[in-house]
Amino acid sequence: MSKAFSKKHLFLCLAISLALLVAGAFVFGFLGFSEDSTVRDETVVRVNGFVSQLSEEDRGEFIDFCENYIESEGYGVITVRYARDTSWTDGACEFVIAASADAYEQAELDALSEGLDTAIGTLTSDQIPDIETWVDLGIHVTVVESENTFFADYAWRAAVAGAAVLVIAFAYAAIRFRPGMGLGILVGGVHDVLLTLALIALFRLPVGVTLIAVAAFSLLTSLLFNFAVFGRMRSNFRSEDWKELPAREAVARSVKESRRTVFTGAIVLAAVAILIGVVGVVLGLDLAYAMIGGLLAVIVSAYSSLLFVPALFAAIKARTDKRRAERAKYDYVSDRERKKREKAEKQAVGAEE
Amino acid sequence: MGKGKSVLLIVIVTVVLAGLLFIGFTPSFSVGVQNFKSLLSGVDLGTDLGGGYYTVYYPEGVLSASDYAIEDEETQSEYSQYKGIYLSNEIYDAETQTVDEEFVSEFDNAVAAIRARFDQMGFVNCSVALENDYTVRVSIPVVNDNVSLQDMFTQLAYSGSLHITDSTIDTSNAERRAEVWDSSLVSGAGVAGADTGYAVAINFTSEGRTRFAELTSSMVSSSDDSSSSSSATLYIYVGMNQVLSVSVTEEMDQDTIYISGNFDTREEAQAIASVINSVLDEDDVFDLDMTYSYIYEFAPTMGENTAVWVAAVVGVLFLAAIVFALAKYKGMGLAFTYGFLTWMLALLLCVSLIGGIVVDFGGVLAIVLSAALMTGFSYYAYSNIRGEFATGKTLTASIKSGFKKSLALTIDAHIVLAAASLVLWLVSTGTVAFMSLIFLIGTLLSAACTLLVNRFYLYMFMAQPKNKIAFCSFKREEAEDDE
Repeated sequence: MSKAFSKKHLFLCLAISLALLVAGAFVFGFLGFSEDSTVRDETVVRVNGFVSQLSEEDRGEFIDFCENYIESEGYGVITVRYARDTSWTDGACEFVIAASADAYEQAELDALSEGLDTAIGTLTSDQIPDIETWVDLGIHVTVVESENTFFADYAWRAAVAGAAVLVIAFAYAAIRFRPGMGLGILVGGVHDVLLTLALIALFRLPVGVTLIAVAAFSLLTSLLFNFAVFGRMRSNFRSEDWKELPAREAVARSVKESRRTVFTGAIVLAAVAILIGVVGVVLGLDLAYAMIGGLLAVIVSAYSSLLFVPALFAAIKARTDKRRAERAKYDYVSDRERKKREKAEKQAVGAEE
Repeated sequence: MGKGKSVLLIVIVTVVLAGLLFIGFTPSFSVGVQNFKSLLSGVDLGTDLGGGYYTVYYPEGVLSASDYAIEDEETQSEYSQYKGIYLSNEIYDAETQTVDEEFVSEFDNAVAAIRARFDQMGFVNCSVALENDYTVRVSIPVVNDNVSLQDMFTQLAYSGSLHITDSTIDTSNAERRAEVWDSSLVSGAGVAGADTGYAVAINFTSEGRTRFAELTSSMVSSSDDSSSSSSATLYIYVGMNQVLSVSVTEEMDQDTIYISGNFDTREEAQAIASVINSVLDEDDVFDLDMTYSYIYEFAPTMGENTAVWVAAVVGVLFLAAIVFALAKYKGMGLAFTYGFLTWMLALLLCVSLIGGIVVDFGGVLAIVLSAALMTGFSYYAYSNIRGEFATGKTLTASIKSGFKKSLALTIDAHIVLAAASLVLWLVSTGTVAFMSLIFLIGTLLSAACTLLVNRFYLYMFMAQPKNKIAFCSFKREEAEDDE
């Protein structure tokens, strides 16, 4: 008999998941999710005005000059951005110097702003062609403390939608497959989404609105993998040979058969996540972090559909089979009783005759 | 299927697919004065993959550093520096460093209203952030070329209440005199399709309907009295800003009115509807003028050219799926190749041609997941066919029973995933809504391709080879020797 989906195995899976969930919840509770550049608060040195009139090459030199000045003043530049006004009148170079809105004293920031303004004023056309003209016309330095807002509305609506999806999936699987399988899909879906979020919190992966997309991806992947496994189980359990197998053995064999399907799907999805993640490392780290989140979702869903959910279903099936067998046993006893009674009645009738 | 018919079908399908591949993926080029743009380049992208626009709103009494610099000395003396901006001395006491509470309260209302309006626009990855405490920075993704960004950003920051009136409002006194239409009269506004472009739909409560009927009735009768023209003009204002006007020729006694201005795009009509919805609750109305100087265009937040690279990676993986299928399933792999291309092109057509679909990071995940769905269930069917043949069935019987064997699970998985994405699309907003919509389309196309199109292609190709078994690379299970 297979030991793959014993009670011990289920408890081990539950313990691992619970430990990770509690740790993730703890980290989230105290620190929240780590925020990426799209949603985090920032302190930014903004240099805007006729920067837009510089050629791309000259603007590159201008940006280098500003960045070097800011760093020479002891501030680290995390990101440099450039945005151009749609009418080409104004251009804004932004130097992110802190990933929070209150990292420095106002006096320090004012001094930095004034210092950079003065330094730009000293630039000559030998260094950057025509810069003096553009500075005269107007290039301004300001320090901006930006406070982003949490995407609570998006998150809540997605959570409600996710809950509705799980209820529908449970109902469908319970009616089409078996109630135990429906329960497995429901628990698996909740488990996968929460565990993915817990791991993202634990690993301090910087995420923005992409977090909700990753959670939705995790839910859909979980449904796909679990349906693949339970679909195989359903077709196997229909055959008479399988009906005679013990619950855990039958579940283990079915999982073994569907392992290839799940692995193929997981490998394809993981390959996409890794390749796009590598692109992200080169182009922009936000993409890489988001893809790591996607990769975690795939790993968790594969683990859950091959180990955790089958172990849970095996426990449910073992109990259901046992109850069914007992019911059959009671029927058997009552049948014997009935036969005894019939025999006794016949004897009684015979005696009377 | 006969050989001749099969050849004809193969040629037609190949030509159609090749044509669609050309239209779908060829890089843009010029032909004379015309520019050819591929379907792929027409896909709308979120701010993370395609960049977008942002602007900074300055409330009344707040100046940017650059605006402050160009003011004369007298005006400058009326302002004091607060972080990187300048606040009017009327609202900011530089000595005590305190900001007027009334201003703060009005500003908070303004931020909440602006956020609600941009949320209602349904932009993916839209963000509203505070800068230096008293300015608002709003970022949106790239929008339809026909949308006037200036108009949209201006309208979405309109202050004041809703007025539906028979005369223009051109002074603040007139605004005060005009009747305020709030949630007791108007239940909401939305967007509806019109004969040309879009219309704004305004829904009235029963009290509002009566009031509106009275208003239009009096307008018609007064226009008949004046008799210079047979119609009167009804104006809809938010504060001092006229957002809509409509010609009234008869009494309008209805729950909903549709006003088709010159709205070529849904966004333009939605902007007006969003503004109307945000001023129905009296507590949400603000009276602070919010202005902006520039609208900036910014690069994708996930890095320059990210969309191109992501498309390349996804393309390589799609190619890998096709090569794997060809190597493993031979003839069936060929049918899969055609089926997969059909799925891919149909999805591209839907995503690029259905208005309002935006592909962002979530959209990429949805495309990849639906591709995995399509590939996985096609492979599953082919494995079953191969398995059936190995047990000794004839080729035709194997194909039939192989497809039949995989039917139940394929249908179940597609139904559940389609239902799941439909619910997510209907309930969610922003990135998840677009992601689910793309996945919904991908799943429906995957179902069609896996259950019908792939099978059709397989029969189409199977008519050609003499040795069909070798074409599909089928092998029988070796019979065990009886001892």
